[in-house]
Amino acid sequence: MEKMTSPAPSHVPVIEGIKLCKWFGRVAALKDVDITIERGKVVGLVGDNGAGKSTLIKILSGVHRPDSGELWFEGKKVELNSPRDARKLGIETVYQDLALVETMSIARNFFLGAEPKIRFGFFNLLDGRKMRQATEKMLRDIGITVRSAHQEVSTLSGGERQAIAIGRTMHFGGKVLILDEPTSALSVHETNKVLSYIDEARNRGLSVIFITHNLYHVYPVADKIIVLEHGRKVGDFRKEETSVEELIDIIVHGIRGDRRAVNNASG
Amino acid sequence: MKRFVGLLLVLSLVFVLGGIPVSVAAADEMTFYVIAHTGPGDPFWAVVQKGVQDAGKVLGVRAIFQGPAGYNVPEQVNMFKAAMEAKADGIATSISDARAWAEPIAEARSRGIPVVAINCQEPDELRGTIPYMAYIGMNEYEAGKMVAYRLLPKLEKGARVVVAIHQAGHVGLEARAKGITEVITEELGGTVDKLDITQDATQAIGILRSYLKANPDTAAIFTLGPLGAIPTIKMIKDDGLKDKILFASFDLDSNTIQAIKEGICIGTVDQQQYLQGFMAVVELYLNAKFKLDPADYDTGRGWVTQETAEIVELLVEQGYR
Amino acid sequence: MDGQGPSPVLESCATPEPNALQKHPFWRSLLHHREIGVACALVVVFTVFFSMQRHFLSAGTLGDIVTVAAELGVVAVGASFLMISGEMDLSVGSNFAFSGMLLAMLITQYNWNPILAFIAALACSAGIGALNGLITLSIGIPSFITTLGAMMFWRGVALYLTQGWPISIFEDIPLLRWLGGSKVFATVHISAVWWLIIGIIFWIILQKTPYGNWVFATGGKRGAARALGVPDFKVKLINFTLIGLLAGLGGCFQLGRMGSMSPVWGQDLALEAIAASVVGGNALTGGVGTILGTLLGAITMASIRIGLVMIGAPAYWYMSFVGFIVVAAVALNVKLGEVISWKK
Repeated sequence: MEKMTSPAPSHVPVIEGIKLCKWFGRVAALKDVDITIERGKVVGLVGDNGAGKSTLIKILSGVHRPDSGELWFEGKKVELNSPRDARKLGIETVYQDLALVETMSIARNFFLGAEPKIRFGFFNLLDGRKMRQATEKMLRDIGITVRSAHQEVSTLSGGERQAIAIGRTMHFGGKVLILDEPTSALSVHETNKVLSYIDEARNRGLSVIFITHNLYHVYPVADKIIVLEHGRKVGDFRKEETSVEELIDIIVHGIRGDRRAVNNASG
Repeated sequence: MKRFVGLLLVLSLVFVLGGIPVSVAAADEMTFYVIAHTGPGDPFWAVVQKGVQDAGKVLGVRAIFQGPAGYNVPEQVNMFKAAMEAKADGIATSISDARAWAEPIAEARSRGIPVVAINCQEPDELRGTIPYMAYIGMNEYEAGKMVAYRLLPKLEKGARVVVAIHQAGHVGLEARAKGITEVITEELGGTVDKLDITQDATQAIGILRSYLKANPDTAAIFTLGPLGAIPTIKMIKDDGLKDKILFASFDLDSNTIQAIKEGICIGTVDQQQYLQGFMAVVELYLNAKFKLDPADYDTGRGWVTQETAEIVELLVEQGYR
Repeated sequence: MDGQGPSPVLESCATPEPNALQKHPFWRSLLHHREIGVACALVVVFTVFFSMQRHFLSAGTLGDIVTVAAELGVVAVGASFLMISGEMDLSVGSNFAFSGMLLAMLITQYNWNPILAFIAALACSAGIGALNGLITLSIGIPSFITTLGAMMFWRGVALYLTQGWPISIFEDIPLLRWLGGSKVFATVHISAVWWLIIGIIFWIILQKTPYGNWVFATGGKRGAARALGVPDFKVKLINFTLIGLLAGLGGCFQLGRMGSMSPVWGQDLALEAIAASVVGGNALTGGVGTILGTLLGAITMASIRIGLVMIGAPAYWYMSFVGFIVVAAVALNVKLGEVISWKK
């Protein structure tokens, strides 16, 4: 039941952030960061701790408002006041710890915040059957076997949970999928699975932004890699232009003067 | 999991077996309930309970005393109803609320269960609205007046006194307070302050102390029962107020008696609540068995002073007064 | 290896497929309902009391139990609803007394039309709940603290209103008969019927509406709910208001049944409501729960009260017995929780 991403002119980037700044008290979490996300591309967002990756995606998903700078979505200027606004546009975010509610069932989690309704006079009731069927289909598509869509999420492994969170996004016709450290707590096998879902998402026309510490995970799937350091963008490469070793070097040692890396808006 | 369920079953069994001695009654043994508006924790009611249980032994019937842990009329009504459903042969209850008892007692009477009232009644203007068969107890309001009259000779015109109530809203206690207040204000032109000292002794001392600090000219303290007397006695001793302030109370307990002997307390009203328990069961029994009509029984307004304290003390220790 | 005989063929262990679709026997799938714990507790309580007093299972007794359960149960439903969303309210007892007093006062001392007085009393009780919510959520104080203060504050207001005296209503007022005065069947008061209706309504809201899903999520993991666009602040605030409303309603029921209301009644109500909720299978920390369980929990508590009187146990036993049941029922619920989430 996935919605196809609605076609916007393909040269228009899905998301464009221009000179985004965010201050927390006197600390600059982001300073003049430009970011461009094209349709159907996977962008890796890397950098050491405190670089501002989390803040940037929170701005893109509506949790924070930027103190200055502009956000454009499919060619139109937007202001995101809450996560709900972002979800309405089709920007879905999967946070590391905040993706699913462990005490609730898979079906309830899947439809959280976007519950299918049956109108009953003045009231809205949950469409239980639709929830169950859609969930079961999604589980089959992903390849997770469970006893029931009403099982608690706490019975699933870490990789399975990530998969469900990602599946949720694809189901709801998201156009942009933002993943915050999706592979950090996973086994090799599960990491592989998650990376393959990201691939699958790209094949379906979604754009993906993928934060991670692990360059070996992101490099294989990414089309573009953006490096942040202390709130500034210090690297913006197409995959072909760089290598894992070079990226590690940049992160550890800072910008090297002889690279045409800074603010290179290639895509 | 299985072990756990097993453990639960064993524990339940323990409760059942432990409960059997409580309830195994010969099929024809008569059962009477005496239900108060409080019970556990109040030394006053422990005497009533003794009266109830002694009557049971003497008459060879099952006599059960019940009461909620704190003053709570709905609770008490629930207990009354449960006693009805248990097909009690007779129920006695305190009329702790002016309105709530009409229906339950009428229901009991309509099922042929005799009902008598003990300890407190509805206000005078409503007498007759609640269909109990007799009242066994004391008239609170009159008792309050009596205490005030006893202290009157020792007080000056326009004196300030404080009435410490340990269960605000309790109909009987409020009536006692009313009696005291009226006598003091009318006969003496004095000021009467009513103080809620709660049922907790530590809090009570604190509240009293603060009051006396704010009103150092207070001439007398009246407490309305042991729950009020005990903290007051302690405070008087600790703060050395023995001859500086008059003190009188209601009901008996060993603390109050001792205080009377020592001269800390001028006197206390003895409600003779043993009778309230004992006679209630007797009257219910006589009606249940022989259809003899119960009669009102005034359990007396004894006034215990230093002269009579010794004898009474003995009886208090034994739990009879 | 060369020269050695064929290595013994090791049978590969049949690895059970994780989460493979196994059909449980019917009785096992019964265990997957959160209410089983309290159902067991109820059966144990009934068995124990019936074995000691054969009148325990009479229609009259059961009617009494349901009537007594109703006043506690109405508040317990609200307490569960709030608890599932991750908060608690200790002020319900004071709210209960205050609202009942207010209704009585407006009718007797100010001669208001009873229906208007009823609406006013409910509006106040809901307002108290909303105030608790606003203070807790806007300032960020734990609800335990806010409602602890509110409990003391509103109790004091109730005492002040009448200087400690109870208020009795002697006229026959139809509203009061409708609220709790009249009996519908043997010993069952109408308040029990209202309680059942309220229970059903809240069950529907919790289990069958999107809002109910939000309640579970807000209590289960507030951050995740918020990240997905669930308005967690609104959800909690609404639930605070609802429990306030129900506490006031409970007070009005009691006024209807008793004909009197005192500012000192309802003091243990908050803890009893919470006890009924957890016995029923609601988690104190939030996120999981059941309204049906709460209804059964309230009935369990009421059964214990009535039963102890009927077997002639000393009044002191009530506290110990309730304590035992609460701990045992919760322990049972915890054990069953493992089965429920399909871990076993």
